[in-house]
Amino acid sequence: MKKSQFPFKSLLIITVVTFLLYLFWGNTFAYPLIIQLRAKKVLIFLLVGVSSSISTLAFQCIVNSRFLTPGILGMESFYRLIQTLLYFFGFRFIQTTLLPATQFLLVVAIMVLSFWALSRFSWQNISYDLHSVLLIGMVIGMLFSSISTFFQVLMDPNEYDRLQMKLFPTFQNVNTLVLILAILLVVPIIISLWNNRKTLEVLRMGTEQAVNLGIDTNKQIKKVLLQIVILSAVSAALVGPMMFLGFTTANLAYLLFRTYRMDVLFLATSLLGFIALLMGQFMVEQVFQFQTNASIIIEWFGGILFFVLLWKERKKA
Amino acid sequence: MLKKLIRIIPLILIVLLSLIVGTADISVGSIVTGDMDALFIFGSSRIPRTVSVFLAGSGLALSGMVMQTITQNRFAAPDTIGTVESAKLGMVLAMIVLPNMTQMWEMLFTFAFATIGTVFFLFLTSRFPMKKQLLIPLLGLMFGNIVGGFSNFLAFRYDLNQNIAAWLQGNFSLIIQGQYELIYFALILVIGLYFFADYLTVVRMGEDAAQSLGISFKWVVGSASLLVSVTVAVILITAGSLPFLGVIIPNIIAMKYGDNIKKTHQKVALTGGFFLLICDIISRSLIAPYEVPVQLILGIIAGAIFLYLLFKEVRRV
Repeated sequence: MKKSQFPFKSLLIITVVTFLLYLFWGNTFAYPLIIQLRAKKVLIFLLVGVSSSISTLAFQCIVNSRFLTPGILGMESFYRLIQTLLYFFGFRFIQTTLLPATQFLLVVAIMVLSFWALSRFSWQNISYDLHSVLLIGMVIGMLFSSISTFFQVLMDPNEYDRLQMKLFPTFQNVNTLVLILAILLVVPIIISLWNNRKTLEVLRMGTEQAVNLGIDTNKQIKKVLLQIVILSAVSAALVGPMMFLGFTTANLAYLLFRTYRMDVLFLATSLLGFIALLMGQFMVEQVFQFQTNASIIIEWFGGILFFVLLWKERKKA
Repeated sequence: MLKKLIRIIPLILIVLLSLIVGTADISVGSIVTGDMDALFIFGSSRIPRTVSVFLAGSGLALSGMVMQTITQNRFAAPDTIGTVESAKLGMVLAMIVLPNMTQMWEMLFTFAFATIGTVFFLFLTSRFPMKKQLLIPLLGLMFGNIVGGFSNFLAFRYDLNQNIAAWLQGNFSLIIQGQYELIYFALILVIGLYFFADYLTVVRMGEDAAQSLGISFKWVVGSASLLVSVTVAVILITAGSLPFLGVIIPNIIAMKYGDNIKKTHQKVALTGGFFLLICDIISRSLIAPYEVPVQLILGIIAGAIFLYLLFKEVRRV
């Protein structure tokens, strides 16, 4: 524990500094308004950063691999499919007239319900063949993306442009009510995962160990997986699909703290997720003048990190 | 002899069906009597289509077989270890760098990236523990997602997205004389395999076994990846991406006839070709006179078979 004290303090300091920097840097005219707008975005960063970091962390515990993210469950392609179908069949009334809050709940509900249905019908004992379950997710994801492609090709180009806005993550224009709903959904799950952290630590050691230590692995893994799905669905519906944010923060946390204690990792990844989004958006607003997108910077960074880690793993073997 | 004949008849029927099905009515009679219009449609559209569908199917099935051999992993294939995504990146770059290029340049770019991506991934994972059969395709999927992220972003910036989606959608409806001949390159793989099969069989047994038989493992893996990349690039340019074919066909054949490549590669090639032909016939007749992209049909049929194989694997564990 002593060893991990140091980065924690500096991490907290970095968080506060980036937070203040983001909130107060730049144009001083119309200050109250700008700060109000930025404060809302900060809340979104906190929510997305924490939920995607923690869901990845929990996912990596149950699959015993630091290379995977919940992204491979095929949730993203499902999100893409839902959005594509909504636009294709001209359900734009849902996009325009229906309350954004209802829309948000609809997308989350569809994603979670279909995962639940799939898990009901497809596997009995998930803990023994988790990798196959993931591969099934991947196959379904590929199928979804070919259906999306089919409709995207048929689509009117103007409509397609509008769809594009939904398929790339953005942090602009999040409805306040939606944000509140998202917080209401996410906070209980995060608390539950936190309370469950000892079990996750045990699950990380592998199914057999966990069974020996008296854990109902089947039940636990199913539960955690469902929680992960809800978290990813919420953040996808809120800002759009982001695959590598959680991957980046979780792996940075392993590298910085060199521990597998869940309480340390939980806090560290959450802070890192928050910092990453703050810094990313700060750079987008102040350096790149909105020429690019915070999520793209983070995704690229995560992608490069993935290769570096694979490379290191290779050397170890 | 009789048995062989019985086996060949359905295959001939499939080819005939593929030649006859289509918007313009062509009866067998009009060809025999030498009706000029019928002969023209036949030569410029029907035959090219049948040939290219067949070659694409067998090329992808063989690519999958080769990849499964060199990775010693039953779930490796062009679309599960990132070859297709890398090729896509090459195609996007080609479109940006040389907007008015010929098909040959396009192919070179696509081929170069497909090779780099494949070899890079194989290199990174070559020392990974083999016991985790399902980890390689999952890592490949992550890899593919990263590479795909790059190309999506580029396509987004240059407003090529719908264009590329259209291009990549597996579809043979645009294949007419003068636009498909590139696919003959897929024959390289078929021919290459005739000389290669023995080496590949040895390579399947692992690096040490190959070494002790005086075969350079690296050389075989390198040249096999080259062959596969050419094939995948060519198929991607002429027909688009065709998911799952590379995984399921070699697996089905291996289940029935074992792993001796020299004995099975013809079967793999033929089954892949005829399987895709059947899918293509379905895609043409489902909503005739229009057609559904074959990617969709293939995705559904082959996806279902893939899921079945996976569930079987799950039960076996």
